[in-house]
Amino acid sequence: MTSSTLPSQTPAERAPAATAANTASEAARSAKKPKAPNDREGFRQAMSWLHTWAGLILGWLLFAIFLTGTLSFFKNEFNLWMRPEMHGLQPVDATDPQVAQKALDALVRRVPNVTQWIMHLPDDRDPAVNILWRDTGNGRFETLRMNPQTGEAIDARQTMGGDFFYRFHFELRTAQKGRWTLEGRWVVGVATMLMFVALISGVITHRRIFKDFFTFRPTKGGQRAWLDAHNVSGVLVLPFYLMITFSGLMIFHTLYMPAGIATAYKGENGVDSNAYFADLQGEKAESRPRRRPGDKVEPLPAIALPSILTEARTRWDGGRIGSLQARRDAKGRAVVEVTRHEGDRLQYRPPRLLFDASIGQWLDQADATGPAVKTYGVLYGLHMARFADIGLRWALFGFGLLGSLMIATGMVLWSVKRSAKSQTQASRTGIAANKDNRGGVVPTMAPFGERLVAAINIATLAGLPLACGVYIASNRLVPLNAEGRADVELAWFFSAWGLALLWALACAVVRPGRMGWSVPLGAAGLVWGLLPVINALTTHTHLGVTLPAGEWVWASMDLAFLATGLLLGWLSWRLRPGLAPKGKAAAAKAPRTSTAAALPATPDVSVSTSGA
Amino acid sequence: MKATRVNGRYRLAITSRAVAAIGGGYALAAGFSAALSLLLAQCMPRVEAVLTATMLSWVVYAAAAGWAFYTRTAWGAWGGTLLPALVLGACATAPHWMKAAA
Amino acid sequence: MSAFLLCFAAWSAMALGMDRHHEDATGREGAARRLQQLRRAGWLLLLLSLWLAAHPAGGMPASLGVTAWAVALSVAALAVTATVTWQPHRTPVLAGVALVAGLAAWAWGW
Repeated sequence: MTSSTLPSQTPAERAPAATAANTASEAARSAKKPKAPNDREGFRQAMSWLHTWAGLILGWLLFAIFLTGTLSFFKNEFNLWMRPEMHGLQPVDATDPQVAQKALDALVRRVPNVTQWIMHLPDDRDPAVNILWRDTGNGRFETLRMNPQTGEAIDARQTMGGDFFYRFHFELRTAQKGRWTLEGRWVVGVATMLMFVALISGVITHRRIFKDFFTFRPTKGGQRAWLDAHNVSGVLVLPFYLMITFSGLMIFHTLYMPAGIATAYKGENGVDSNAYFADLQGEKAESRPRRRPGDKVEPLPAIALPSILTEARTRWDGGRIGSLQARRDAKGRAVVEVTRHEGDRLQYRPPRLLFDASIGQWLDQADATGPAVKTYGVLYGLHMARFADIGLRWALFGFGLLGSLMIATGMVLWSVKRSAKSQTQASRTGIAANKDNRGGVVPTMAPFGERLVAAINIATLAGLPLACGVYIASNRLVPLNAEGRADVELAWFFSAWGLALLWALACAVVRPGRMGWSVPLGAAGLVWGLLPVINALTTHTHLGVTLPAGEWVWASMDLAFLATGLLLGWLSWRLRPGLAPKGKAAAAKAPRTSTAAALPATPDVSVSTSGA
Repeated sequence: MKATRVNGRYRLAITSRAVAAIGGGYALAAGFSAALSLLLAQCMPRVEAVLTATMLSWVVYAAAAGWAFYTRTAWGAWGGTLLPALVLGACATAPHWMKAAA
Repeated sequence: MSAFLLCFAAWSAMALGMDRHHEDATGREGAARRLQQLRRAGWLLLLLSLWLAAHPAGGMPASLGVTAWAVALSVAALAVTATVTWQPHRTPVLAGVALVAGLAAWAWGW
């Protein structure tokens, strides 16, 4: 018996008694105007509706944002793995001032007229010195990666590396020097707000949130298993999701909700946003000038680096130095800003010390200290997870995967419920007449909207993992001297995703069936599983080298790729067509087999009796 | 949210609520953050006031969205979002008007 | 690590304090009083694990300890869900082991 005969898409009621009662009272109310009774049940129903639609509208995009964000927890490791030329760098003593000096000397030799540079010192997750530099007033930064021992630049292949996942995650970046970053951030913001609403409405509408806290019944099959999976992945990791979503909104609050700034910082000459940004960082506005394109800046003078480094270490009494920056402040004076390592505390940004560049005299320190700013900083820091050691990082990565799973199961659940409803509606209106000549029943085509959602589900939930694997593979396969190489890798990513979409649309139109899921998942499994092999054939940073040498940062990447490939392959195998439907599917352990019910218009699967 | 049939009237009501939730809700949250920032700035540093107000405004936005789909009618959705938004907006810009009038 | 183990014990107690999981684990219906005791024990254990996490060994700041606890809270909840789903009969034993191991781990600075 379907849970609801009305087109209001409320999720399956838990207790059958409530279902019967609801149907009866719904029928009684159906004669009146559309009305939500002002009681608990009405509120829950409304939140249930809101939860479904807030989640569904941009669910596919949310999945992409969440998955790429999850991968971004390991962006440093991806950045390294995707630049095999960086292999073999010896770890250096972090407190050795020679490291910074050599890198700076090499930079100045290359770019005598450099006007601003930011130097990230090596640490346990990145063995190289990374320098962002520019020789203009307001132009883009270029990147140099230097050997920490010699200071010389390493000629690494052109790639976005892990930074692609990172930038796609928060601004939907599609090119290395993408220009639609503001628009991308807006879209991500809308999706984030929808997720925030979906999370809260989901909690409100989950009637048995305490009783069903630990409940997971994969053997039940059908909607029940999908709903359990959605609830378990949703509730048990709820603090993480709430934190990630809310902090995401706050990270870009100056873009999304500037009304407070515009009001409180209004001055004679309009809104003093520079003052706000400075207050946010806990620094003085003139230490960081905002320049317009075309502004001319004098190149930097010689810098008294050793004395600056020594004094910084003394002042921080053992704290790690994360990065150094040299620039000219608003008065044109050359300053060096020493920033503490981001992993030293929860709150983001880390504290900074300001020095006069030429004489090395300490000028000022910058750190946000008020309670609200600190709260903002902690939220920011929790989102970025720079504080996390390897154990915590893997746990957060797991949470991210579960979040992606939560979104995925939600979207599949909607498809399953919808197709169940249209199946029973179809059989009720007597499509028994739709028999072919041999007396069998011709499968009825589900409505267009349903097939479209099913197709988008396949294209996103299976297509995105495929695209990510293809992107990583392209890093090894695209020729090193290709023009615009980084963008070529991105082209592989988007093409793979596009192909998955075409495949899914074709399936939706031509032949709805389990193959729709099985094929892209199988392809993804193949690609990910082959990554260590491709790595071995194209570089010398493969498992054969890194495992014996105990280079875990490198080896664990290959091993993780292999595990991912196996997992995706297993999923594909479980979803292969020809697996006996319903009877065997229900008996099987994994909830995935009940994906049989997820596909529209397969008449041999009767989802509606599976305990919904 | 119950409906008898998915007809044009139902779709209009839903769309109206959605616009009230998304647009009206944003206006309410923005007005709230502006007014509260101004109020709190009287007794704490500006940046503290703005951050507190902005963080709270997201909760206001979510609550407004919930309200828009819970109220009895679609008009209620607008009444609950746009009306308070205008009031708060007036509060937030009041100092400006008063200065201009002075 | 101690946070995870103690939270595992705590969540197990809470799970065993629910009708459904108690039956799955022990094969009998639990008396209402017993279930309530288990749930209370679970809450107390959670609070204890939080307090211990806020007093970490070494130079770790309390904020990092509490953050790690919050992460462990969810990981442990997932672990308990897996246990009551696939190994319900072992749940009580595992909970006991986790409790002891968790206290020991905290004492040794893990």
